[in-house]
Amino acid sequence: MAMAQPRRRRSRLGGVGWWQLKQDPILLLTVLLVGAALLLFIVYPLVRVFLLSIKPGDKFTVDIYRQVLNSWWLRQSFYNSLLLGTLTATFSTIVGFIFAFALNRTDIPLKGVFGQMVQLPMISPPFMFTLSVILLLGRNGIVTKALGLGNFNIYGLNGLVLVQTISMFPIAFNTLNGVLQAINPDLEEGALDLGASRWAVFRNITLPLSVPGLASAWLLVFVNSLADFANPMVLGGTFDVLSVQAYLQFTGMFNAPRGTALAVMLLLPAMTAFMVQRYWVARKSYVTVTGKPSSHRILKVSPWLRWGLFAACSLIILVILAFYGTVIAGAFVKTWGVDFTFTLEHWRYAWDVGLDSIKSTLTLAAIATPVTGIFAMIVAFILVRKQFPGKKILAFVSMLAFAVPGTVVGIGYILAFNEPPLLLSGTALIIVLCFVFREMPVGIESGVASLMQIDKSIEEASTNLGASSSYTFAKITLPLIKPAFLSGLFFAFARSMTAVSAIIFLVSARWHHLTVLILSQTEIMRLGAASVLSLILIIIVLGAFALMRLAVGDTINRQLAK
Amino acid sequence: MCAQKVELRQLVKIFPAPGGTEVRAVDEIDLVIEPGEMVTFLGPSGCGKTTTLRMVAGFEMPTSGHIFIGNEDVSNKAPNERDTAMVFQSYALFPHMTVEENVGYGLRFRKVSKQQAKERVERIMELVGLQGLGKRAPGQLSGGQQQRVALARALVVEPQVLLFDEPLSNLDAKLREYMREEIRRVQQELGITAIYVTHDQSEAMALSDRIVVMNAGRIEQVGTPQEIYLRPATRFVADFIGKVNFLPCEVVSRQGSGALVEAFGRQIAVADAPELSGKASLVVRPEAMFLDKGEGIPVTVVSSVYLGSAMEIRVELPNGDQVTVYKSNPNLQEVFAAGEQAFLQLDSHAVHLLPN
Ligand SMILES: Nc1ncnc2c1ncn2[C@@H]1O[C@H](COP(=O)(O)OP(=O)(O)O)[C@@H](O)[C@H]1O
Ligand SMILES: [Mg+2]
Repeated sequence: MAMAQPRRRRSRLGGVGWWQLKQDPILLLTVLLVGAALLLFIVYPLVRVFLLSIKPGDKFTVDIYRQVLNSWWLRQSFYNSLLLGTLTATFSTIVGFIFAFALNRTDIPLKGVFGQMVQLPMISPPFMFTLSVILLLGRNGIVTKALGLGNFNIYGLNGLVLVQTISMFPIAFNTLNGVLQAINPDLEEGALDLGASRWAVFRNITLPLSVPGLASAWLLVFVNSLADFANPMVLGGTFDVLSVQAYLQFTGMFNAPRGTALAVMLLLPAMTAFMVQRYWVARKSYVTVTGKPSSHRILKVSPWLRWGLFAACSLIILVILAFYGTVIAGAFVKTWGVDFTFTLEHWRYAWDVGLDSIKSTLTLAAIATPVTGIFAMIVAFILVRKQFPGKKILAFVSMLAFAVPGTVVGIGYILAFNEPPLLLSGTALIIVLCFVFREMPVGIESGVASLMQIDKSIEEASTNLGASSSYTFAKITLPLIKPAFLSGLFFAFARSMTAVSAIIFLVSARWHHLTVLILSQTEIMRLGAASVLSLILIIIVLGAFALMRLAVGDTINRQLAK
Repeated sequence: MCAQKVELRQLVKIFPAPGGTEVRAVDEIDLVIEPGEMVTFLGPSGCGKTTTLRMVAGFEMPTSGHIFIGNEDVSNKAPNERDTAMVFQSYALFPHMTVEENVGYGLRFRKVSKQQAKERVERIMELVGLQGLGKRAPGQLSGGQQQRVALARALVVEPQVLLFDEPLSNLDAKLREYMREEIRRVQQELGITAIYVTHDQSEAMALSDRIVVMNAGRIEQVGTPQEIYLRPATRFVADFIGKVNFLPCEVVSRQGSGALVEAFGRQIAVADAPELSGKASLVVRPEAMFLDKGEGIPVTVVSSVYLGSAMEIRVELPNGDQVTVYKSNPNLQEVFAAGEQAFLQLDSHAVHLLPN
């Protein structure tokens, strides 16, 4: 049957595909189940958020929005969010590009080390850098004290831009790294050969070809900055942003409709930026990022530039390491800024208050991870290999979690699942579902990328020899995409362990999450305990990372051995 | 434009290889390329052709040795300071520029007025047959057209040396043959010095004034296409260029610049032979032999394959070796069936002698 399939990459919406669904009941069932799950756990909560904001009582009204826009401090939050997003995106893109250029286009020393270190912020708890910034530059911070900056105030925009840039520039780096790797070095050599100086090559060739990548990187960081909740919550001071205000209005002030209106206002710029990135900037791209570097050739750059780039990269990496070092130190000293004697007291305390949270976090993440991984691979598989009506919509909705800030999701889940027949609030299930549907897009993306590399005829050979499509998926496709699957699993796990913005709405006394505990410890200035809990979190995530590397390395070794 | 001589002296390039070893990609190459000459580097993949070319362009620095363009030692100059222009295997067209902008790119770095640049771009585009395509994006062109843009972009700067790295390998066979004639025509029309890299012997034969056959980083032979084909200097060259047979023989005596040899009991006069004595090899192309019913070296037909324009016949010599014979314009009445006895004759003008 698979032999007869038309070899068409994309289906038009509707059109072809109906007959295929009819012929393949398993595909039909899969598409229906996936579609229903996406509708219920992604679209429906968003609809509920929007509905409440325009229908707080029993009539439709725009009063809530009018109130929000009339109140200067809520309006200010909106501007603040955009300002913070703009600054963070700009700085992150610059830093990301410096790293990507240095690692791809020069022969600076320690490239391997830099390449690994850059990824550290990606797997760190979201506000670990905030914690270190407070320890270093807060009122009792060691830098503040050492320099006698009594009135210095790190809380607010400056601190947030610093912390967000450090934690989000790797997103920009990864995008730009792919773009620079994909630019054929022949182009740059060709220009040089025709007489262009090294600078002209950069200005005429490298930079213009990177522009779509730069725009993508900027927009992705912008979306992430808007969605960030924990950093502004702790480090915002008087600088209000939408994600925090939505949370406070919704939970603290018990003004749910206003909370939802703020959530919608947060969603709009995030969605816009995301759509522009996906459907416009990405299309403008001159290079196809395949993930395979096209060559390792390097054009000579001047020693000044080389060492300048090396210094810039070293500086950023040193800052990251200093932040890590600070948190480690913070976990072992009595009262930060006052009494630096060594103590294990925080560990004892953290153990007392945190053990339950650790257990529950691990349990929830451990359940959610395999579900996310398998679900993501199934979605990736039907997106790449099958034709069916509504495929584009399904693809769009499955990627939506990239665009929707966690705060909006959290509010949506509370609204959607707090009454029968879907009474889920307070259960472990609601948290697991939230993890699955928020972390799924990473898995889908890596699955799609690796499926594209595998020739379809391999699967056709299997069905041709009599295997069913589900058997083929399990025995042929899955093993082939195992590395992508495992790394998808790892990211799902790491992100579940470090999630906070949506989860903070969903935790209960019974099912708690470590990040929420760290957040509250930071807020009450128990920085020692917060440091200890952050370290525990990092150790767990790094442990998982090591396991994944072992497993991936193992499959690769076995494949090589054959 | 003034065509320049190119000279490679004792050129060596060593790459570090994994495991602390090294690769001698180019190993002591000496070569003089005359002004206006088209020279092809020919050899199997990995023999160092591209590396040599990239050293001339300046993308790789020689480990030792020198490169002269004209009378100037350019060995330590950056690529943008050398007057070379390369046509890449990937074409390397700038995807964000139009065809015109691509072709005119190199003129930005030369003292040429806007008006002059425009005229030169137009003239070159006409020369390579790209009229009317100037406003297109490279992605909107066919493979053959992209190839022409790459050629025009290199030609427009009137370089002292034009470099080609397997420029036709991404085209289909028909277009490849057509484009190689185009390249040759344009190169001769402009009288430009050119270095061309390929692993395709028929391309090298069709294009070159002289061919440089390379093997494992070294030059095996330099000569015109005829010299390379008819008088291969080494077994490697004989084997690499076209089909060839080696027949064991013994040198009987020298005769002027030639020699008299004996093979399978028959005496054969070789018109032009190196100084050799004792055991040697006769190098014979399949088309320089024919099968006869009455006289020659007795052989047994092993197989015969009909190829349309020729019949390829494998025969076994008295010592058990097999050789290939072409019978061109085969006539189906004269078939040699497997197992049949026949006699092998050589065209003594087309045989050549090599040491064992
Ligand atoms: N940048 C490089 N680093 C290491 N080895 C190289 C590099 N470039 C080429 N080589 C090696 O040098 C040898 C010659 O390569 P190349 O000149 O590309 O061959 P050709 O063009 O004749 O196929 C090969 O063994 C190749 O692996
Ligand atoms: Mg090559």
